[in-house]
Amino acid sequence: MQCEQANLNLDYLEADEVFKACQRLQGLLSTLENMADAQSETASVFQPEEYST
Amino acid sequence: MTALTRASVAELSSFLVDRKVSSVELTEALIRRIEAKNAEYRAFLTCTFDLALEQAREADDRTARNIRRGPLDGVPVALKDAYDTRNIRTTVGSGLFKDRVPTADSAVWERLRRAGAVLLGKLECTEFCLGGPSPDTAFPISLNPHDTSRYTGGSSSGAGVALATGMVPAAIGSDTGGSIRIPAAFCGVAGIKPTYGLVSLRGLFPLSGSLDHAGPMARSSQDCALLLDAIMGHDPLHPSSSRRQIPPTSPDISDNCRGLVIGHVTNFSEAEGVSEESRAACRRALDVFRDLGAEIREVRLPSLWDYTVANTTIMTSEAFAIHHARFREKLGEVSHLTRHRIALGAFISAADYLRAQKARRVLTQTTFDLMTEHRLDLLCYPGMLGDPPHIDQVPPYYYLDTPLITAPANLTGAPAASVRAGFSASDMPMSFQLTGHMFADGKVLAAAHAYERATPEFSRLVE
Repeated sequence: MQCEQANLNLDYLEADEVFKACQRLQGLLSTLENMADAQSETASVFQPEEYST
Repeated sequence: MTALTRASVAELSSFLVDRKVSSVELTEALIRRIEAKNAEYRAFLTCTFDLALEQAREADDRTARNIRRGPLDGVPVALKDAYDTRNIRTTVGSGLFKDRVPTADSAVWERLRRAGAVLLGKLECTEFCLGGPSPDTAFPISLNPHDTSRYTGGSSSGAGVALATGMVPAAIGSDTGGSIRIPAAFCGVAGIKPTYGLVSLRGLFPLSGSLDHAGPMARSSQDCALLLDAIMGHDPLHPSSSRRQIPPTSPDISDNCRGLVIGHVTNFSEAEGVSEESRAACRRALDVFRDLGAEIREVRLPSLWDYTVANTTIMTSEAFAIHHARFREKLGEVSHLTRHRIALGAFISAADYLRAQKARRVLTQTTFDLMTEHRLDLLCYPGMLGDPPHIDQVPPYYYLDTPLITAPANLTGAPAASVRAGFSASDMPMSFQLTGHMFADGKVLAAAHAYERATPEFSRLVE
C-alpha cells in the first residue's frame, strides 16, 4: 500500500526486499532516539563554519 | 623522464614548463593509452579527444608566449560523468540520461577550464551516483584493474580505474557516502573529500544536497592538492558554497610531520565489521607518522553505526525527493540496485529525517569537541572494512548490513583523504583515512603527502 501511495510501480520492485530494508533501517534509527540536540528542537541547515576552529 | 602515463600532475606540470614535452604530445600519449586500455577496463563513458587536442594546442600557445595559467595549464584531466559539461553528453551513469547534453558547465569544470586543464572525457559513475554495481545498468560498469572480479567501489568508479591504469593523471569525483574515497581505496589511488561547501556543487547532479561533496582524485595527495587549489572557492551561484576561503593547500606540502598530533580512532573495530588486516594497515601507517615526527594519541569516537544510520537516512530521503517524479514514470528503466536503494526513501518519514539531521548536529559537535579536547590536528582510521567485495556479492542495501567507514566525514563535513597503505593478503590495495578540522584540508593533504613520500613502495600502478 505504501508503494502505491508513493507512486512506485510494484512490477519493478521486490517488495519483500524493500520492506525488510525498511524494517532494518527503522530498527537502526531507533538507536538515535536518545541523541537529542541540546541546542534546538529543529534540525537547522548544516553550516560547516559553525564547527571551524 | 618518467613515462607520461605514469607521471604525476606535479611532474607533468614541470615537464610542460621546462618544455620537455608539449601538451599536445602529452595528450596524444594519453589518448593512445585510453585507446589501448579502455575496452578492457571501461573507465571512460565519453571521450572528448578532439576537444582535448584543441585545448592542448591552446595551452602550448600560452606556454610559448609565457602566459601559462598555473600548474594545471596543459595537463589532461577527466570528470566523473555527473558533472555538467556544456555541449558534451552527461549521463550520470543512467540510461534515462543517455542523450542528456547540458547547456552550461558545472562550476568545477568552469574552474578547471580557466586553469588551462585539458578535458579527455567523462568517466563512468554508478547510476545516479548510487547504483553500483548493477549488472543491468545501461552502461558497462568499470572493472577493478587489480582484480576484475572485484568491485571498483563507487560511485566515482571510472575515476579510480582511469588513474590506476595510467589513462589520466587527474580526475574529479564526488562523495556523498564515500564515493571518492571508496574507489580511491579499492583501485589503489589517492582522493580527498574536501570540507563541505569548499568546492561548489553547481552543475554536479545531486544525490543528496546536504551531504554531497565535490573533490579531486589523483595518484598522489600532492596532485590532489594541486587540483583542489584550482577548484575550490566561493560560488555565489550555489547555496551550499561556503564563503569561508582557505589559502592554497599545495604550498603546505612537506616531507615531515613534526608537531602534528594525530588521533588514532581505536573503536572502529572488528565488532563494527572492520577486518584485522585493515586495522593492522592503519597501525602501520601510524608507526610511519610517528617516525615522521607526529605524536599519536588513542581516541574513541561514537559508534560507526550512528554515523552510518544518520548519513543513510538523510541521503536516501533526499535522493528519493530528487528522483520520485522521474520514478513515477520510468522506474523500470532504472537499474535494479538503484531503484531499490532510492525507493527505500519513500518509507522514511519527515520525523525520521529530522531525527537524522539532529543526530548529525550532535555527532558533528561530538567529533570536533573530541578533537579539540585532545588537541588533535587529525584523526586516522582504516580506509575500508576489508578487501573489495566480488562484483556479484554486493547486496542492495549493503550499508544496512555493515556500517560505512566513510560515513563519519560525510556527516560531519570534515575533510577526509583516502591514502594508500600497501596490499592485502589477496594482493588488493589497502588504505587508511586521514580527517581534519573543518577547512583544514591543507593539513590533511600535507600529512598524507609526507606519508606517501615515506612509503613509495605502495604507489604500484597497473601495467
